[in-house]
Amino acid sequence: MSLIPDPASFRDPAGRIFTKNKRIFRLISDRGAHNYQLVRDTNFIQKMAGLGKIIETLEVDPVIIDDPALHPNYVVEHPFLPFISYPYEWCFPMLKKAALLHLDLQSQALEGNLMFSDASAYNIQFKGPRPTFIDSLSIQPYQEGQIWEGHRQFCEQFLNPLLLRSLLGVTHNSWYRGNLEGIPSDELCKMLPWYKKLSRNLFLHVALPSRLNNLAKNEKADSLSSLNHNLPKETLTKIFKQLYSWISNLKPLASSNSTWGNYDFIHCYESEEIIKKQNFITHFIQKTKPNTVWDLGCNTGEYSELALGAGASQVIGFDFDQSALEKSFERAEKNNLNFLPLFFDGANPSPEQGWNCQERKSLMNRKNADAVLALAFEHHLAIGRNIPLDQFIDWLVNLAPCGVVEFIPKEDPNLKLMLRLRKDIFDDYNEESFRNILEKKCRIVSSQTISKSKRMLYWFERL
Amino acid sequence: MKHVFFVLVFFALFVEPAYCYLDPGTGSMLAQLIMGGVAGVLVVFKLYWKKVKSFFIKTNSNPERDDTSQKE
Repeated sequence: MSLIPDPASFRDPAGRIFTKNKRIFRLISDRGAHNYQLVRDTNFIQKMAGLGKIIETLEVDPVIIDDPALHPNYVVEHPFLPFISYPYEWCFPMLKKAALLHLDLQSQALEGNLMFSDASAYNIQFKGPRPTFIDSLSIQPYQEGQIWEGHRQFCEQFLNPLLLRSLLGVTHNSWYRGNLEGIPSDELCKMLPWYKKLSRNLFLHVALPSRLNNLAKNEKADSLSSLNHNLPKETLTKIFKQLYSWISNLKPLASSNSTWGNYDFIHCYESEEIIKKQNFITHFIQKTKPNTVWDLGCNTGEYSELALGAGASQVIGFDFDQSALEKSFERAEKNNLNFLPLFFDGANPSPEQGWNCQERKSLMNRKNADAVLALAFEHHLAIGRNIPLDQFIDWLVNLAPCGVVEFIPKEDPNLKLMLRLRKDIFDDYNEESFRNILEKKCRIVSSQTISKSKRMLYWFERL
Repeated sequence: MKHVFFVLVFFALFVEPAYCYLDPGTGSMLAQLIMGGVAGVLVVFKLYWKKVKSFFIKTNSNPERDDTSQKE
């Protein structure tokens, strides 16, 4: 198989990422070779890779690139990441953790006279709850007096989305997904009351740069390029430290819009019913031995953790409820689980987007599940979003070769609640038709009624 | 330094800018220079001073070509 250029790796002419048979190579050009040597010789990347903060980087012989059109000066190999997620799919504590990692790395790099050339949040990836920096080539030698070129990008891609939630209670995901480059300082400033902008950090990092930027728009380019750019190194160190301590203390503004965050306490099941459900899932995982499980509607991660305990090596959870995601992430951190909870709206999953509609992949193009769990999830799409049952099942079965899906009948109190104020237009919504549709696409390995309200679990295998 | 900070706060919050195209990173650069000390502050004062000056001169001499006028 030949080398395939990564569609998201085009910004930096110093190097590009290529994949070949699930192996990841970074090809370093003439332009990037000198800096690469200097940075490599500091051992900073190796040291940070040892701590899990930067992705492992192994220099390989360029002859491995068997392509006459490419003449890299150096080739390095990185481990293959099983799943790429984007900042618009992260919840608040994930984005915060990624921001702190970036600042921590930047501070440590500066001590060794290195500087990051940008501050893109897309350069951080999560392995379970642990963030890792993946763009080793953006680390460059520090030049005395240089400014932090990534400041604006850091603010837009890390700081502003966090402030949006912590100062205004607005989640960043939809806006970030729409804009991809993050939340512009200008726009955030328009939403903040003036007195909030008087706080020292907010003023210096958001309000002031945004104003000065607009002010400088009237200046001719040469009048600005003649400015004395010398910024003392101590100031840079101070900026990183201040931002670190500020962001460490940011918390989401309390909101009451979480439906499922306290699910653990408002279970729709009685205790023996929970045990039945748990046993069914455990049995399914033990028998099918999936490597990666997708848990749709993962809630606080209870069943994701169960799947990991039963033998799955990685779970990617999906939910639209921020509070549930935050609890999931907390669970993953606390119990050190290989569990990655992501923001997701089942009726509108992440699309292909960015440059040439290829830069950021859709969720469907990142499918890597060996098994899928869809517990108490189906009715949110079928009833909540009017997705016809046959379309839902088609979509679900297409995600993984096997899985467990829970069917919620109309008699269930939760479903009654959903239909209480709307007309019931779901004539074919019943257990029998659900089973019939499922049977057309799958073999039903087993099924079980697990609640008094006749909730059903189906273990299916794609035909 | 504290007084300088408050004067900057005033300008930054209440003087409306005009809009055209330039590198979007300039504001970040200038803000860092301000955090770096007085030299940066002077540069920014110079920019504001020019703006105030051009406001009066252009308004008095040629109001029709007043492309940097204040919004208020």
